[in-house]
Amino acid sequence: MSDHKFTRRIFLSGAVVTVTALSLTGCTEPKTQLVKIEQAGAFFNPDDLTLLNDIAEIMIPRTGTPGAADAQVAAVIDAMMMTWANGATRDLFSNTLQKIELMAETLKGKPYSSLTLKQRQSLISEIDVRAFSDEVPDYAEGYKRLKDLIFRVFYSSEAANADYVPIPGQYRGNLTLDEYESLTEAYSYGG
Amino acid sequence: MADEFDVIVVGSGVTGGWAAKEFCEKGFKTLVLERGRHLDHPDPEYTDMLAPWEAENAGLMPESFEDAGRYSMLRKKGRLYKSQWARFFVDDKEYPYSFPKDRPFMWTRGYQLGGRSITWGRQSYRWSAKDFEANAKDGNGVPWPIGYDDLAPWYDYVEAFAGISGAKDDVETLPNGDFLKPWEMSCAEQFVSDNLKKNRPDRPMVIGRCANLSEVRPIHTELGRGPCQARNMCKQGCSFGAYFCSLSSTLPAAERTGNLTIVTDAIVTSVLYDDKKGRATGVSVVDRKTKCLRKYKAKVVFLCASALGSVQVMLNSRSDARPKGIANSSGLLGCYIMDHFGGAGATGVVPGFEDRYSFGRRPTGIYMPSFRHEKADDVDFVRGYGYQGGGSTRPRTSHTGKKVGIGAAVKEHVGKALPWRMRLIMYGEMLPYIDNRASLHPVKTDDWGMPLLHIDAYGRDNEKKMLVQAAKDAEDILIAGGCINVKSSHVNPENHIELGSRTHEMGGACMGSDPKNSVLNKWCQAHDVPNLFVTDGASMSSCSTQNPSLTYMALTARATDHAAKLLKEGVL
Repeated sequence: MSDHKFTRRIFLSGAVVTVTALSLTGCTEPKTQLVKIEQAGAFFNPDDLTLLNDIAEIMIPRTGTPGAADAQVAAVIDAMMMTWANGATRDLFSNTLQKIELMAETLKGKPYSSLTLKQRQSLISEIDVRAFSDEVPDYAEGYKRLKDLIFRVFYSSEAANADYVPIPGQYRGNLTLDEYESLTEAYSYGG
Repeated sequence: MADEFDVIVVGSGVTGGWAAKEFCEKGFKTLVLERGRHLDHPDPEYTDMLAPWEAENAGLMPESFEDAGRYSMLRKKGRLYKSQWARFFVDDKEYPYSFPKDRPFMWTRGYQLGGRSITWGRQSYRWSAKDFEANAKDGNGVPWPIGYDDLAPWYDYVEAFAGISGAKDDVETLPNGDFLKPWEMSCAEQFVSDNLKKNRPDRPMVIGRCANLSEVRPIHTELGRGPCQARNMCKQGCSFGAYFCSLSSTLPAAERTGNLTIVTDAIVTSVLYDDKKGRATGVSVVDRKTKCLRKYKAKVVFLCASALGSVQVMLNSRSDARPKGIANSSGLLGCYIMDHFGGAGATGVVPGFEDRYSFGRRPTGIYMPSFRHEKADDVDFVRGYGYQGGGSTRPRTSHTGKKVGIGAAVKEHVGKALPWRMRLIMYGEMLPYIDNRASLHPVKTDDWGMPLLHIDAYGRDNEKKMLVQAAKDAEDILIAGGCINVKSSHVNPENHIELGSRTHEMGGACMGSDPKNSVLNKWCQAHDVPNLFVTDGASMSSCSTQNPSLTYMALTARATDHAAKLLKEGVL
């Protein structure tokens, strides 16, 4: 069970509005290791969110450090569909998720949610290679944009910036690794 | 509220703030008119205390803005089109301006109290004697009526208050001042700088001088300003007051005298003029919110509305007797629009230092002043260019969001230290061309009834030649500095050289000694209207290569001192 909660300041027509997104909950299917999101988001339905969350985690998995699911990338993107995306992007991303579902059937012979983690990793990897190849499949534009957003949201997240130093207080330009690490540890959020 | 003042200052940015401070401290009842909204310091609109992950929409602006054609020019600037600070820039759909279709001009504005002093780049360099001599020497534009020595004491004065960090580099073309301690160079920058001292001593590379408090003096702390925290979030407003901004520096200094009145949402449309007395009597204003018209009167009017903003007001100050605007007997109001232009540079790897790292986000880069003041045999253009850039932070591998690759291996590759790199980008001095011009659109007006400003200005042959040479020189510099894998580039010089991208627009009401060929005299005072002063970028007769704001500050302080003397003598 994972619990996703976040608060975001949304920039709309010059006004700052604080909204609290839905708290997304999910159960991990023991066989497939797929986290099934049971609640609709602001834009995506539970199935879309399940797919998006899984794709993001396959792209940026939890290793020794947090992954996309830890950073709640799917939940952030879901909110951004309402606060950032225009109608064309909403349609594009919805269609892209549908196409990935179809690709699961075509390439792996099963619905996405029935595939094992290994099979899903293999599927997304194949989709990724094709999207950036000269082949330019019909999902390429949507996939590339969605991937770019997933990476952007993850790498600007708190989970991905544990060593971010909000107020360095100084600049030093010629440090040994030990000096750098001790300053970072002292001044970062984790310090 | 009384509507009569000693002085009206139009604009509250870098120069408006200075004019307000100086007049108020000299005892004059001063009205500052700002066309945008009110902001405090610190203000709830500042976003500098947000962590990167708290930025609205991960820093992206809503796509609907683009669909609606909003912020079209800011979008072109890329790095400025971010949700963290877009609120401090003007949407050109809301406040349109005009340019020839094939010659776009990028006009970046900030309509709020504090103006563009909230978002400026804070680079602060004195111009040198050579800059003020350039027009007279090569015959372009209007000869400056002042030299470096006229301005030097005023540079001292404004630097002390603003707080400029820098080293005493003893470079003739980059005069020293009484600076706050310099920011440290990175090991890579120091290496390149040291190599240039040995190999190309004629092309010095120094640490950038900037208006961020590397240390605080009593003149800063008494206004509640604190030291720079090396966050590099300046464009989001600084709650520490650690960089020079009207909101945290000059306006509070003016306010504590009790002589300051600020009125925001007041769009000045014209300068009022008494034809019999030959004097300005005040300004006409349209309220931004209500669109009601009103007037304010004063003995002296200071236009500090930015180069193009002030020119627009002057051109619109017209009557049957003055169809071409106020202070325009020369017919040169709106002429000689300039900006620094870019489009060339180089990058290179700095070998060694693989065990060295940086900490903090330094608020400045390196600086290389122009080394081409004297025309050399190897080039066929006049004037020159400087470089900014540097290598303050050791680069790291980035993610593959825009490239092929996913999964754990790709993730583990992110954030690995790469070799140190250096980057140079040119800041070219364009010549003052009489027909690079701002004028009022004959038909179109904005929502407040103000004729749109039409800006037709662009780089010509001299600038095109500079672009090509600037790329070559940047490459030579990095090689002489010990870099490897050096690559230079420049845009196609045959394409339109768009101005405005550096936000250093200047000219339009140039200073000069002769009223026949200039708008302002050596005090930034209109030749035709003795109680009208223009002390922002409009007054500049050439554009040098150094960032201009510090010179605007010095010119403003000098002009207010002169105007105050005339006021006290009863001349104005």
